[in-house]
Amino acid sequence: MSVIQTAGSSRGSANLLRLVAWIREHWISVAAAVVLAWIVVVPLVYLIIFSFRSGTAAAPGDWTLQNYALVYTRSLTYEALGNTLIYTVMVATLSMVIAGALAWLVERTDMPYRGAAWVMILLPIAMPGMLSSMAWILLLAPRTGLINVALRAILAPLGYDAAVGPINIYTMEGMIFVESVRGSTTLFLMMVAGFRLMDPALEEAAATSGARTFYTLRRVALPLMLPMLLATWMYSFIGTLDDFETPLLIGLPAQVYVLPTVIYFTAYLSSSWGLASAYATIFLLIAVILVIIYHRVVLRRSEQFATVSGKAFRPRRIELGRLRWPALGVVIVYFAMAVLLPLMILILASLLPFYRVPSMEMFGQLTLANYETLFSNTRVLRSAQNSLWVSVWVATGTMTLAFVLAWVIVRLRVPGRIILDSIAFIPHAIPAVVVAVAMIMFYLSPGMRWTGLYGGLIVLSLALVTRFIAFASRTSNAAMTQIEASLEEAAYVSGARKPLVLARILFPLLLPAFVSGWIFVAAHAFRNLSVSLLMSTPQNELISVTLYDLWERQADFSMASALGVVLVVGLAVLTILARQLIARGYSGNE
Amino acid sequence: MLSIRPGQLTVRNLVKSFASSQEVVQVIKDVSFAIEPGQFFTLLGPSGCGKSTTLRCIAGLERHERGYIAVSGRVLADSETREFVPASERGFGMVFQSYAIWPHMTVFQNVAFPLHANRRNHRFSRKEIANRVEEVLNVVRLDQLGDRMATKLSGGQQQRLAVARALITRPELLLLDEPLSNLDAGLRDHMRGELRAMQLRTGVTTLYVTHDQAEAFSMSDVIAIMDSGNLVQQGAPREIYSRPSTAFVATFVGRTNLLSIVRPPAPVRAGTVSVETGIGPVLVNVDNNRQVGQGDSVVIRPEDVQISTQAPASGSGNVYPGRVSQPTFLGENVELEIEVRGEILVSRQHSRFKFAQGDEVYVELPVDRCIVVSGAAAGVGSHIRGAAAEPASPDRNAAV
Repeated sequence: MSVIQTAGSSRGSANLLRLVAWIREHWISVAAAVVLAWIVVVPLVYLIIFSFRSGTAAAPGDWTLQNYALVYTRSLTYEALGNTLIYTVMVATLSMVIAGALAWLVERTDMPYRGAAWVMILLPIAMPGMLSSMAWILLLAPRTGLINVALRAILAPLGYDAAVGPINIYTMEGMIFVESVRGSTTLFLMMVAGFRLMDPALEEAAATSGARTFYTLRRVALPLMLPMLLATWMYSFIGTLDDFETPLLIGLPAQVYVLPTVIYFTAYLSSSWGLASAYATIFLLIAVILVIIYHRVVLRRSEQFATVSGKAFRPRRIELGRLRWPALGVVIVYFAMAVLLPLMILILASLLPFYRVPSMEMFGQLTLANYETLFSNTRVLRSAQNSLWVSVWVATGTMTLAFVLAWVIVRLRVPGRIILDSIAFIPHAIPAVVVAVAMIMFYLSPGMRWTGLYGGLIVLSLALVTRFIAFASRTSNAAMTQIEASLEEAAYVSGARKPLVLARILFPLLLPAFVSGWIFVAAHAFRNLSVSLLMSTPQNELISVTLYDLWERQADFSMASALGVVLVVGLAVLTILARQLIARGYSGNE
Repeated sequence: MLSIRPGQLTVRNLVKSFASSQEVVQVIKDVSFAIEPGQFFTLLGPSGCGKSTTLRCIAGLERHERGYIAVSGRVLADSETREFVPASERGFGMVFQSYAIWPHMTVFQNVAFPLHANRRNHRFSRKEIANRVEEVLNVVRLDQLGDRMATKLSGGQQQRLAVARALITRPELLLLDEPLSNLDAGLRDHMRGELRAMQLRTGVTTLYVTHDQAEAFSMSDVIAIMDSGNLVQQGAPREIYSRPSTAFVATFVGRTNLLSIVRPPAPVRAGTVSVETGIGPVLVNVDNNRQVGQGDSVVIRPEDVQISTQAPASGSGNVYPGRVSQPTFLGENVELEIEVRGEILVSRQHSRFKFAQGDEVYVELPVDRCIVVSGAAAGVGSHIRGAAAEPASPDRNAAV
């Protein structure tokens, strides 16, 4: 008896020893997995659990289905779901049409000044969503909107004498318009890539068979591009589903609620955290299903088509003839709507002592006072400091974690790496508001409350790391696969151990990719409103939250505009500097 | 000159599989061999035969499932005792097929890296590092280029840099994984000679992996032929070429006539026996420990196939009348395809001999040149085999 016990326990301790030895050997992988689980899996699991409980975040009560019952009986739920569907479908379709037309003009026609057109189409990337919504409100608000005022002046002789309108931005159509114009830039890049993958010989073959240009377009080019179009559409659909800023700024005053805004005010404004968790869980489920469809079906299909010819072509350009200049006009109109008009109205508003119905007299009152107030406002300076701190740490943390993960997944071939890869990908499907709600619930829970981390910059930063880890992980995996394995193996054989290989071989080789990813994450963390607004407390206010507060709660449009202009200029300068830096980094590595 | 203490490598019963999502493929089935100190040992085989994986197991870059690897008595990996020394602790030098030159470092930094990486064993002073780098760059004739970025070197220079980096720690064993396959033909021939000369000068024990028989023949002391995870024959280059043990070795190394034995002789202890083949009875010498059986083949090299227009007066007995079906002029020699009883034999003759299609000739197969090997030609009618997937090149048999 005792002999058997001894044997059993010694076997147990041998297994334990083996486990300890395994962890010692794979400590980098284990550490990366633990961090990833902590920021992705734990909060989400806690969110789902909490959605089945009563009580408050700090003191969860009994198990219950009450939250879901409430969700299903509220008419607001169905209204929001309907709105969400209309909003996402319309934005995806409209921005794809805009992006498709622009991409076709730039890539496939002999439109003049195509180089300048590229810049005009890509510039809107520098414009945060919150600011374009604000600008369009200033332009199209029913009573005070500049365009409306001008239109009324023009229409007055024709008998239009209402004090409002004729255009109202605070509608579903207004939301769709603003978001479609703004969202086209990313889609434009995707469509251009799609156009370039198309072998011109396929069209030329149709042309030599006697087909006319537009017949070729309809019967050959369009069917060939269909999978790519579908992928682009779905990408836009998922992105719009996650969009928070336009629904918040335009949708809330218009009383057009979509899922993210419903979660926002259920959680934040009415503090019904159980209900918010149930909404968030449902939203999470929808998003995850959509993302799985996107990757499993749509993207795979379009890649199949793309691999028909993997290399980029310079296709024959279609001659527009007399339409060459009108074509450029289309690009200029787009540029005006996406950047020029919004930026001009923001600058104008920022130079006014206070915002009111525009008139000719206001040009006599222009002043820089708002900027002076801005730079001496301690709250603004403090949240700017917070934003800088957060974006630097979020970018550094996200990219470091992503690169270690990529190394573990691509190179070390640790068992279970597929699971790690999938977990790192999950956040791609989590809407920002869901990340925020999950993080709040988790760090307010009895188990975590004692840490005192809730409400501070650290938890906010963790939430943003969760938000950006999917993007960072994808780009790092791609960069890592570019590095030949033998470069590391040569270092091992030379006598180097893993940390030295990471520091001396991998890190320098991956630095350009690391820096460009870092800049992307830093810029997006800096301008983020969704996560930071939901999680905001007086201690962790970021500049985006201050901006929203100036706009919405204090209704100080001029100050908000001044801050917006500073932000746009700052982000633009930063992006240009970063691009220079990256360009130099790459050429140095050549 | 580098002072290297050459090591002795023992590999016993090595087994390694790779698992894909569908199946488990055993790439090394049961491989054993030993390399003596100072030897230039080559693993030769077609792609996918497991030669590179064997080398990577020895380097510690792959973990094998079963087997024993030791160098000069130091156990590196033993599946019995679950011992496994990671690549970083084995202290070998290795040259990769792609060279694996670190593009973000200078030539000097590339070569010096192994000295930095081994600081835990021995701390080299700045001066020592500079001296050793200079010494090893001299060996590979890259002195003066230390400050240059590694990526600014030509292909041949990068290759030499990779060798220098592998030698800087004065390793017991140098591992070379197809190091010449990325160079263009002329440079490859040149580097072949240079590598061998460097190996002889330093005396480092070397394991070389290649699919190119010209490289193997011209550089090696010992060649081991691998085929689908098995080591099928091991010996000096000349022995491998002239006395192949299997049909695979005979056809993989050089061009070969392969005659399937259709009826084996009555069992004999040793001496000359007659075996029945497609062209008739062939006399062959049989070792005292070899049984000739069904499924074996007779192998004879094209340059050993003698041709005359008249019947030899008092021949050895292996004389067959045939007809030239396809003469090919190759410059220094001519290659003749001769039809004998419906079978095709290839003969290589000096190009001063002139034959035309349809010429009636006598073919003589010298008895001491006819070798019995196990295995037969892969397909019906494919009696003439060249090295797989490679066009006939004049330098193929140059070293023999």
